[in-house]
Amino acid sequence: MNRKSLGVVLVALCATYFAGCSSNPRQVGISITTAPPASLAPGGMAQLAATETGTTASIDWTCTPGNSASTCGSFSTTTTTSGQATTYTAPPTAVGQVTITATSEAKGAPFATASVNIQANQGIAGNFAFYMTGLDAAQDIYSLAGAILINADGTLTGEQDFNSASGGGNGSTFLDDQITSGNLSVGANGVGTLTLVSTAVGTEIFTVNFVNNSHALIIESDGSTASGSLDLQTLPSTLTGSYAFALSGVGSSGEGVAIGGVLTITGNAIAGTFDENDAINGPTAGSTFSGATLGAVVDTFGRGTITNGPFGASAVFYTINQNAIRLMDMDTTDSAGGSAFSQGSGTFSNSSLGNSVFIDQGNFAESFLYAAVGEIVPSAGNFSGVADVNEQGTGLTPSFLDAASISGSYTIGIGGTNGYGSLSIAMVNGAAGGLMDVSDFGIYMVDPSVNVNDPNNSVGGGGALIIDLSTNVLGVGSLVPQTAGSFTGNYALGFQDFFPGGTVTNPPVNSGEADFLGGAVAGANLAGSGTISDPREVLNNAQVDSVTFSAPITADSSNAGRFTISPFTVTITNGAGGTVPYAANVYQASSGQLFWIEDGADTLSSVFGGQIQATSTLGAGLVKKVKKP
Amino acid sequence: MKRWYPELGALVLLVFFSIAAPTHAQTAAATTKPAIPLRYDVSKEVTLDATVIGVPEKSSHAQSQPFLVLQTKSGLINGRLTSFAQNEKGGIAIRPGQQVKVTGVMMSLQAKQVLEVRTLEIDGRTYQIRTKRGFPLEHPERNVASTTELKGGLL
Repeated sequence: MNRKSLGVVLVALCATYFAGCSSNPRQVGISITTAPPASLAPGGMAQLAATETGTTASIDWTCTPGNSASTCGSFSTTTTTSGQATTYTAPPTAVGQVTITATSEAKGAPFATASVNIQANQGIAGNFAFYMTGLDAAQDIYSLAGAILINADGTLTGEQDFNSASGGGNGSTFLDDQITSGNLSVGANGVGTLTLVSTAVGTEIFTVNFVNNSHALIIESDGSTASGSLDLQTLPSTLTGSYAFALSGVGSSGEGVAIGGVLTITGNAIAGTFDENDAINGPTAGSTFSGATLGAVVDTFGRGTITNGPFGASAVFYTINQNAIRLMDMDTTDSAGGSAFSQGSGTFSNSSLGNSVFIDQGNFAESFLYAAVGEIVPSAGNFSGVADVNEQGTGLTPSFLDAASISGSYTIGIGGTNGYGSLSIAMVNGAAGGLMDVSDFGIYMVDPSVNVNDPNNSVGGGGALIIDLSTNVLGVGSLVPQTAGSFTGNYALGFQDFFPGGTVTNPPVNSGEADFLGGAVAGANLAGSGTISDPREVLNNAQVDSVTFSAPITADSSNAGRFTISPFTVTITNGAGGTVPYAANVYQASSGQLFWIEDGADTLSSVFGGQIQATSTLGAGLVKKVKKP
Repeated sequence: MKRWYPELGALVLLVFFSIAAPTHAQTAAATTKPAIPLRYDVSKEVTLDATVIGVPEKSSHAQSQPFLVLQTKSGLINGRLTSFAQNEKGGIAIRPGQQVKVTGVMMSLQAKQVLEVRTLEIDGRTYQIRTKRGFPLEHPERNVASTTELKGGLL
């Protein structure tokens, strides 16, 4: 090569070099394009993939802490190409936060990371209080409340109180029953099983559906059946101030009883005003009490005692937080369960009651099984609204009303008692009729910041606890503020079904209680699955049924906030199987809180009422991606 | 699940009723609600001697009411018990051919006239099935001694 040729080649090489590398350098990067979920259970697996730009170099997968299978997990292949998947397997224990790193072998070693929280039960752990009411294996109406410390691995300990007493030595009363072991197992969808082993009662099995990390709907599903709530505890040093309360249960002669009112705790003294509907004596209102005593508060499970209150000479409570407690009448001659919620420091008046949705349901000691759900628009002591009621066994024709127009009057602050009130539904032709036998409520206002259906929820607060003070029915419920919302997304569903009808040809009995708990997606349809606890095997030849459903949701064009879910056909997938051709109607308090009731038009002669609550993604994991060019 | 059912006799029951007064201080109710008529009107109660012709069937369909078919001097009547009276565990044992005395109110139920049974006397025992307001009582089979008027009262 001569000098001239050599010079041309050198110039060309330099031009190529500077054109390609210096004046416009290529961008090399990496990102994790298939990321792990926010949370994984120990031993859980997830697909991962990373994608490079500007290079096709191999990708190396590592994790911290420790970069070992036991400390942070493992990969099915530790080296992939761009876009190629690797399977990540979480470590066998709940180690908490793990960082996964994908590093390119390209020049500069760009990398990207993602985080995954390795935790059992989607991170649900801590102190939780539970309560429920239902019908046990001996057909005793019972109440159960307690508290458990759920460890990170799902194991637990705790204590509970059980009461099914109804006088004359009937039923059982187990005070301070120690829960010596147990387990919580919850899937990513929030549905799971809670098992408790206690000294006195023995083994109890519950089905749970976590609405969020601090609240679950719960049913007992082990031969006893009941519905209630499970809530994260934040224990205060003491309880003080004014509370609204409501309980239902069985009196000392085996009769149904509902009791509600307001009380004030001053030191260890409790006084207040209450209403009661007793199946023997009938409804009474405006009784006052004093001399009740708040016992030593509180053990590590938030349990305390109240003596000589209107809800029993001997009562216990489990604290959820300063604003919410679960109450149990623990007399050996009668039993009841319920809640009390703070009234806060404000003053209530008629204007405190805004547009609201209510639910009201009796238990099995009712004369006539019933439920009522509706919405009201209050104004200066009067209200109008629309409601559904379903009564069975009354002999009334029809035995239900759908979207019935109701009106009436209400008063908050009766006798100068803050937050204590009543509501009367106008009669028709001089008799109950606006909402059939449902005619009178006692209403007990709660702090506008307190959500009575999810006590740890910072939204959806206010409203009141109610008891039904009608002549021919008695029960308990709540009344919560109604705001605009949608009925779409993921929901937890539960209902307490009394006197269920079935389709099986040869069950052992002809009545009972069944409790349903499920999860569903709401859109054009309400589609999902769940569990029905049916100890008397009325619906199927099994005590616990797995069910699926997909039912059309139709908004009531005449009544905003009301929806029909009809037909709500529940398909039983275990045992002999079959279907239960329910129909239901829904009243919406907000996007997150709805109540539903069985539509008597389904002709099943059963009555259910219950909750529908919007669910959120469980787990506290944080996913982030870092890109380093 | 383990449950305990202490078997207490009539004596204990009577003692219970004699000491069941509430221990906490409280005033009498300020008002008594309201003037809506009771669906079960105790003033219309009748007491009938009868022979059991049929017992409630354990049907799959809850729609079928738990009728007790009774032959009375004035003809056949359907007596309605409660679910508690018919529990498969310890319900009241009733067999066709037995002589009974029933007290209740005739009511119209699903286009049928039925006797809403409040008390049932059989084999020398009187079972309280409902309150005088027509509400069911839990476990009438265990309340066999409670033939005296029920006291009710606070929880």
